[in-house]
Amino acid sequence: VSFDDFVTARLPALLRYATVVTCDPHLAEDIVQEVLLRVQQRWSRVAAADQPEAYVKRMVLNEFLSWRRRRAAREVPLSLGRLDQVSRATPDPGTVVDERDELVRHIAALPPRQRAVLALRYFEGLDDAEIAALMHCRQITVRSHCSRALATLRAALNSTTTTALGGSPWSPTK
Amino acid sequence: MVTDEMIRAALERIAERAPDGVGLRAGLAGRARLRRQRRTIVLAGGAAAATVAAGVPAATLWPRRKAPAVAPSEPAQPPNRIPLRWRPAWLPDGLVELRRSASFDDEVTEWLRGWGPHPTYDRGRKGLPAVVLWMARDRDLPKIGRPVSINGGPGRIHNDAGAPECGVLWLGAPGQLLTVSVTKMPPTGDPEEIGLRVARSVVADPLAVCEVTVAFGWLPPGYGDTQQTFDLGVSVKPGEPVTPAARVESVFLRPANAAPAALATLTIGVDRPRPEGAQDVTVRGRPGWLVWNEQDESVVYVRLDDGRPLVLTVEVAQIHGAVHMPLPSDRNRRAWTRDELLRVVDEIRLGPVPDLSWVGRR
Repeated sequence: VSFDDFVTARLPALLRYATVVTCDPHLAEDIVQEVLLRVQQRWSRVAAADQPEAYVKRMVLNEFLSWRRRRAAREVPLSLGRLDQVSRATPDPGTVVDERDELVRHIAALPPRQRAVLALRYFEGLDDAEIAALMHCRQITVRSHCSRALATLRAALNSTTTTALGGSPWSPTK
Repeated sequence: MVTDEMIRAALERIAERAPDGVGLRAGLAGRARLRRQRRTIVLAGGAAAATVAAGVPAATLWPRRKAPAVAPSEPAQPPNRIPLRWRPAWLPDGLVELRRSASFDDEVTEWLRGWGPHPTYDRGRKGLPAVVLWMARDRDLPKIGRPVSINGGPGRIHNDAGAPECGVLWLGAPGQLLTVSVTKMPPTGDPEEIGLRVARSVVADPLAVCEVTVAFGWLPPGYGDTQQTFDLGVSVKPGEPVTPAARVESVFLRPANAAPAALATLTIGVDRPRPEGAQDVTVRGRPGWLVWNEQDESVVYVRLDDGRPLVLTVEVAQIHGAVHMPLPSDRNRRAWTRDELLRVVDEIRLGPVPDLSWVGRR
């Protein structure tokens, strides 16, 4: 399989995977582009791997996590909740429906490694050992990330329900 | 209670926002492609061939400027009506055509048609249409997935286990690779079954064209050998009529020998809020604003005479997000200057209003 054939066949899947991991379509496109450029330069080696796509997905994940590290030094972290306090979001008709999907929002707000674990477990269907190998960590760390992520989602959803019932001006149900 | 199924559904929903990769594919393809012939010769041949195929008089082609003596900074101009040549005779109920796209450098190399559940086009989100028919020249059938028969000829099908996506590839004609991608199926349906049925229904379409209505005129040095992808759709809400004023035109620009060293994207029809620190400028004889940033994204914004917003963004790759690869050519190592940005916008060529009668139809 040539590099072009690989891109033709697998680009949509790579972009979907990267979008889930990053929760940002534009960043996903950047990362996939960066990774594919590097893959293109050493395609013969990548193609010789048992599973070239898995190899490339690992590069996407590593790129995302390392990008977060690089970017963190320049960014002022703001949670979605903090942003809501600072300024009301500009209404975007195209996002109204999505904004109502609370779970999507809360997944997007998870720390990157926790979100990556959820993506690999629930979107890619990998087990703890496979995720640990991809993320260069121990299985217990994977389980820890996952349980923290699930706890955060449960708490966030409960909080959202309470807030909505209380009639917060920032509630997307208003 | 958060269940596994809820998380899977939420992740699927996030995945639906994945970009379509048209611009990305164009950039990658531009690097890999060999320069087949000298630009000027092939341009004339390609334009003539497209003209004949589309039945368009030669006089309606974009006028060409006199080429500079050295270091051409004017990209190859495409024909203004690019034949799309193929269409599916069968599509799932409810899908209508939303997008047409064509890529070209010194000749037309790729085409794309996309169908989705309603005539909306959200450039900001760049969601994938449900069914895409993608065509590429000078390509062989790749050995991926598993073999299938497409109307008696060889084809390949590949899919992701558990993902609502599949691709069917075959040669519509020698060297002309066709791909049907099924990315999501509203409301239900087996993507593989649908992909095969769509692929097997594809027939020649002598009428469909992608009208190229916007083109770069002058570009900074180093962009004479550039691949461009033109994308045409509309930006309307579901239920709203499709009008010419709602059209969205984009051109992705990739220097073929250094992609993606400097990525320029021109979009007409999608508004952009004025950021803090933007400078007032006069461009195309109208008031606009400019953000010039040598180390990050530069933007020029102006409202055209017809009221539609024109936005040109140029990003320097090595400091844009994750992209930090070394650039192979010194001439593309720098950002565009402020004057270059304004001159590029000043010289963008706007064509006539395209025929959008295909939007929202099967």
